[in-house]
Amino acid sequence: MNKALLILKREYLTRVRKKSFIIMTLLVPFIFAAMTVLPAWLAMQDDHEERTIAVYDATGIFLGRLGSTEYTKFHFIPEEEYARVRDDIKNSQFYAVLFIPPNILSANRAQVFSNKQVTIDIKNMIDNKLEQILESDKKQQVIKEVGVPDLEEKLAATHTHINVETIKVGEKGESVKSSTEIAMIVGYIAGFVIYMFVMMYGMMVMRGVMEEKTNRIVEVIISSVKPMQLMFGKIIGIGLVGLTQLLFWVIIGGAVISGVQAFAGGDAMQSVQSSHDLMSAPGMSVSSVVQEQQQNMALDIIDKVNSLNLWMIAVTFIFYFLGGFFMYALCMPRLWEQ
Amino acid sequence: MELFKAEDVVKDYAGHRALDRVSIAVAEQSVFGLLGPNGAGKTTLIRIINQITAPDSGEIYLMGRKVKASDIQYIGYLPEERGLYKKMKVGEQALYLAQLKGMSRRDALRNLKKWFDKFEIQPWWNKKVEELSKGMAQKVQFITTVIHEPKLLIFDEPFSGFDPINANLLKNEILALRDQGATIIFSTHNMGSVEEICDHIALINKSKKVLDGNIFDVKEQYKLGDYEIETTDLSDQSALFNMNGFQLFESEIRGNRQRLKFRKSDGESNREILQKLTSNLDVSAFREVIPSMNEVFIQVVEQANQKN
Repeated sequence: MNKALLILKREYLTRVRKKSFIIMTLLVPFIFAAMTVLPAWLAMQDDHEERTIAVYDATGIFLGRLGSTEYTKFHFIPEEEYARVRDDIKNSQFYAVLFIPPNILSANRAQVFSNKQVTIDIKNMIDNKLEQILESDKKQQVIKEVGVPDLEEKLAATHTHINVETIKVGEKGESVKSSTEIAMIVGYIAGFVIYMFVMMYGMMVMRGVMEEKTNRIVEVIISSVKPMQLMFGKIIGIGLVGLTQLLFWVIIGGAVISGVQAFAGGDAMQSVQSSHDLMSAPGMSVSSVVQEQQQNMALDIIDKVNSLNLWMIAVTFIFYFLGGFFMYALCMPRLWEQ
Repeated sequence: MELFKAEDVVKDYAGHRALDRVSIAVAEQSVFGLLGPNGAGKTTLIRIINQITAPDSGEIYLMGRKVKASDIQYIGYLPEERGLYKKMKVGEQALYLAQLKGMSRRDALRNLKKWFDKFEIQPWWNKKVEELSKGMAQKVQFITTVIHEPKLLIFDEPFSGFDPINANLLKNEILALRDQGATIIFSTHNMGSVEEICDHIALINKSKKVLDGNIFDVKEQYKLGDYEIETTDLSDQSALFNMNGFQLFESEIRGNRQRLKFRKSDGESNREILQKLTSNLDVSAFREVIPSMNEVFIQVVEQANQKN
């Protein structure tokens, strides 16, 4: 057997049989899936803590207009109580104290006191509510001054949104839905994966060379084979380890994604079905419309991903991966010696 | 017949000449000792023989013709600084190294089994190298050096790292390999082992060959004219030795015997010395002191260094 091939075989087999390689290969797709799904899932979780916020309104503009949600309530308090509560929030029944100063219109600021850090949701909610109320007051003022009663509706009607759809024209003149955004995301991810792989496996070559040098086995080996055979056997062997890992990631990742699709897709089909039922009935519910829109969007994305030339992407991916890897793998051990 | 020959080999490293017109010839089926102080150029020469580096000028011949790249399979090399892949299993690794030397898998397996049986290390086959002691790993390394039945074997300090028992085992294996037809180049600082196993030596000092020859001729050549006698006469003999022109430099009384060491004056034969001594002294033992390789080594290197 050719000696370079023997070296390639050893480099490949010893690495593929390693426990760390097997664990990495099997686990990473799941970790990756968890990393993308978990934050989305966490973001979807609602905040169910009941909170009451004391409000001392020095202007009197906001009384009764803040409106409570299911879990967050606003309670207006007079000035004397405000001072007391603010100094001892911990022992009051309030989560926080909102102070609206008399000069809010000119200063554009209000203050929230609390003993614990206020959540971003609460802060944003208060922000929005105060802004909306003040804005609408100002608008009413302007409308009154101008004397055009339906000014607000007219202005709202001028609001315009244009959606540019990108459509690729296929070889036979057929139009294929495409998306610049999705093409960009796929490119970005592929680029990142190549970067990671080239680093990881280039380092692996360097470590392999270092191991042979520190072990001193290199002298025995290069008295048996030419250094070029050793180097190429090693680099190609390790490159194949990388491709093997990638192949498994694609297979496992594909299985995970199609599994999720089958699970979520079944759900979606049902909801589409039920929304169709509702459509036939008069007085369609708003939520089902939203659901259907989301469903359509998901199908659209899958459509657009499919419109990408996946074979082309795979081939160029492997080409750039190997190109980058060879360059890096050939350079790193040399650099290390300097 | 010579199995290996190097002619006028020169090797320069940046600003330093590692080998300066060194020629050696190694007879078939002999043990050739390559000696010299640290940094003399022995390892460079060995690397050239192994084709790890190429000489800047000069020629290397193996089996009567110029050496080719494929001749590597006829050479077995045990470097001074040795090692194995730590994470690899012993058997797998030995098999791999044998195959790298051009053996078929089947032949390699058969020979490995033979050697593992001989060294009684079959239970190590599936152990990882990192689990072995240093001495155990050295044995495995020795096997991987000889496994492809090379015609030329090169051992660089083979006994370092072995206990006396295993060193002896190894020495016997090396001699057995020679008897089976292998030719051996043996590089060491250990002059005791040189005397035990070498047939021929070359001494390299500061990149030049300063001594070359059969081990007995070399020792004969470096005799200093020293003798040792034993006598039952315990009295002081310095007057007698001075009178005869001998330089007495050691006398020692042990029990009822006195041992005396002296250096003769030039040109006297052993018969003349004995005649001079026995006429005045009751000599019970007479011996010419042949220098050890250690003494030869020191003498040659010091002489060479004084010349420079």
